Amino acid sequence: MNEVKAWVTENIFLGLELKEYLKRLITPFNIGATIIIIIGIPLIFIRYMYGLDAVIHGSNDQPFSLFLAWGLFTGVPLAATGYVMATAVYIFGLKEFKPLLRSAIMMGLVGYLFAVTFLLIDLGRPWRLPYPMVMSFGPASVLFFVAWSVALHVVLYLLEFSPAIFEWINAKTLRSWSQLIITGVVIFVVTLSTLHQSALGSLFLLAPNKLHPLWFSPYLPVFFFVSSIYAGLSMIILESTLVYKFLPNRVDPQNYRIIEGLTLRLGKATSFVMFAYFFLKIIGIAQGDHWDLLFTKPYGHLFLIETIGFVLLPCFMYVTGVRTGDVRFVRLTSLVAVAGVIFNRLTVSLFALNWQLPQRQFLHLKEFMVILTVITIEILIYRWIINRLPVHRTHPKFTGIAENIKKERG
Amino acid sequence: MQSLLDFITYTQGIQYLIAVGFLLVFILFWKFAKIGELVTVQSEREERVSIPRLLEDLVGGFLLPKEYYYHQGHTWAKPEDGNIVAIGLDDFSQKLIGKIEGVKIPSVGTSLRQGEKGLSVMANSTPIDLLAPVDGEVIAVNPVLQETPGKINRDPYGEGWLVKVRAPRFRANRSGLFSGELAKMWLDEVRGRLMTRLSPALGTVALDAGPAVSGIAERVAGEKWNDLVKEFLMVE
Repeated sequence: MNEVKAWVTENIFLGLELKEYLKRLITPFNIGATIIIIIGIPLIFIRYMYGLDAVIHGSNDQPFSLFLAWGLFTGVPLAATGYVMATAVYIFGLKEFKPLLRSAIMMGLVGYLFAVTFLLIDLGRPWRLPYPMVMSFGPASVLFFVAWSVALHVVLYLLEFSPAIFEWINAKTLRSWSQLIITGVVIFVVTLSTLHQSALGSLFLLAPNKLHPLWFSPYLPVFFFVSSIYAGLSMIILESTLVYKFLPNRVDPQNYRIIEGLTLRLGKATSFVMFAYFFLKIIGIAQGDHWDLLFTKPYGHLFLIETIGFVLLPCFMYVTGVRTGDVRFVRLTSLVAVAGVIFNRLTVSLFALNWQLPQRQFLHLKEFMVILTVITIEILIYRWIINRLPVHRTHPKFTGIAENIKKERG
Repeated sequence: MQSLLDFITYTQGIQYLIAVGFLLVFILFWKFAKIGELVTVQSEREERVSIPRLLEDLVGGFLLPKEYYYHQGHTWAKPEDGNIVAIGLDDFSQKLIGKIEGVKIPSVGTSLRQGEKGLSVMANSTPIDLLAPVDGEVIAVNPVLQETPGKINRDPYGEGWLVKVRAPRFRANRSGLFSGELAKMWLDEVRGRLMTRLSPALGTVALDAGPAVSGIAERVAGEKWNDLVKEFLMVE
């Protein structure tokens, strides 16, 4: 019994007595978060009691509304961190990025979990979830495909992240097993990611007349996939910047020596992807021969702002930062790049969809509150995990053990 | 000319032209991004990070960080979570020995006893035994040392750690180790002993202001460097 208590104190309450722990929870950030949640949770209840219409303003004109435009279409590319980093480390063998691997995978896991959360709130009737997935297959539906691959993805990310969980609960055997399956899992994750990042784009292929021609293109799946790569890379830079700055105790001290070099290398890789993406977008215009639309108001201008201001500009900002070795500039650029991806996804799934309708409204207070609540919970959970599990640091009891087992087995 | 333009439009040839154009521009972009310069930036930054620690923990030219426990045989022990203790070489022994070319560390599961041999490093093709600072069972060995033993010289208290042991007797073992002010006095005394061996060949080592040079034993004792090392590491 005492052992359990000691474990809980050490691993749940960060080594503090319960009273002391609760006292430390009172911070301005936590107070703000609590207020948001207190307002938001009842709204989510209202959605389940009185239907989607009571809080969320999706309609036939705006099928996704801001809710899914943010929660699904923007959330998924921003959670691309996991597959991007796993590919780099396990498939391409870039072992030097290992210090950033776990956090990338965890961001993927948490990101997908919350994309699912948004979907569940939007869909309602969670007990009917098995129907579209198992009971009545809809293999011709893109959404069926997205549902399956997102569900598989969450499970796979959980498997990929499981070594950290097993280290946390000190389960050595399980941990070594989880290590054995990881390469297989990674291959599966990468395959699925290439499929469903692009599948989100494929959804809009169903609506060629509704999406503005500047954004509609048969290449949409390619655009979505390629932009998810640089979204993931930029998110890794952004996340490491925030964690290294605000939670220094949760990071291995030796990582501080290499993080700047890694950030620069990530910045360089990202700039290449963005450069290619920029040309892909031009090919998209050429394919539809929409050059004349580029200078129309407001959509032409919006498109120019997106492709030049949020793709080409951050691309060159990254290169400039890398050339001069200016890590802070690269970190700042990651913010611009992430903003660009958000801008693009919101445009495709919200602003430029059904653009011909005379009157449209995007922002509704209740809907916004629900979104804010889910984001707040996401941040709190993220911080909870980072504070406890060995994500940005190696667990002291497990340092070098995997390597030893491998060596001993020859 | 008009028919060529029609042909390009009709066959969507413009897309291919843009793709080819992209590849050409990408060459320029690649050059602009200057491949290969990153490494230098990184290593320069690495150097800079270690300086603050250097100044703060310098005792008579040798690094002696506060949060470590030191054994007379110039190995250190640092308690981590639970009863895990990390073990390594201190800065004095690293500088005394000089360039470390290899390590011979016990495999996981081996028991170490305080004050007894159990670890060794290679320098000048000669194995040098070290005394274990604490009792304990080895649970991890530093995986990078097999390939880059030089990490011990570069960062003896960080990346150059040798093994981690489970040390249930660490509390008792601690009384046989130096820490804090006592460690400083001990190292001062050791340094004093080393000074008495000074020969003209030594030169720069004696500078009080800066960190001591590497490979002291060979500079002081020449051919007999190994004896000097053994004497100071107490493994005669």
